[in-house]
Amino acid sequence: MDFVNRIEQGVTVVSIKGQRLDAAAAPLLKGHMVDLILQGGTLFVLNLEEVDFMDSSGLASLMSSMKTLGGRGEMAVCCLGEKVRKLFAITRLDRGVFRIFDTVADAVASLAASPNQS
Amino acid sequence: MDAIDLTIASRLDLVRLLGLAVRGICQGLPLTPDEADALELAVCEAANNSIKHAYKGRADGSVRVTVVVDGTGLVVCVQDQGAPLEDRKKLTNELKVPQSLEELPEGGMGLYLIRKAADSVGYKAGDQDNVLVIRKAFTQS
Repeated sequence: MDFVNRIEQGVTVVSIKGQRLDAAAAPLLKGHMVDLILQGGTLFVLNLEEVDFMDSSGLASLMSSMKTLGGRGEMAVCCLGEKVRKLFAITRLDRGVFRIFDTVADAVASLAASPNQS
Repeated sequence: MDAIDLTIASRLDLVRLLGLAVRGICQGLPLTPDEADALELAVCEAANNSIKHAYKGRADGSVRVTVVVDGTGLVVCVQDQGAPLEDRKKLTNELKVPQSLEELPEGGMGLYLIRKAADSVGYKAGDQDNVLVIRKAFTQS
């Protein structure tokens, strides 16, 4: 699994390059996000467009990243495929904990307007 | 009654093979695409639990998945020879809706997802093997 980062309007967009965010890949995402947070990043959009399969370990890596970020910033996810969207719904993580957007542009626009934007 | 055995070494990077195999089997059965998705996920979650918790990450064990199909449904058994599940309450715990970062669940989501995929889930820790049994009836004719 690879990650491609780019900055848009002060927001770091992390695109996940790989179809499976599973227990084998989750530590890689967690490590990548911790590195970005330790480098001072505060606003993140995770683009999950390519992810076709996610398990509870993948979800846990997102939650762990949010906890690492704490109150210092914001994290959103976008471009969820149908299976991934269902996983968020079944685990009820789509009810306010994760901010979910249909497009990268929508997510970036929302986070760029955030009070956490420096 | 038809049955197939699938076995992997206890490595997380191999679990996807079990998932893909179970998905392939489900696609030939009277299950909806959503049911097949959920069963693929359930088998992956069960195998992940065996590797992470029963074997505690050791790669020298094995995870065996047996799928038994008859005219009414299928039974999937996920078997390991590691440490048994200690907290059996995890088999029945419901997930709370987290309202804040602090309430985000640290674990237990895997077994919850397995239950959501199945009509029933059983667990038996034996002298040699631990077995998680996932039962799913066919709802389509």
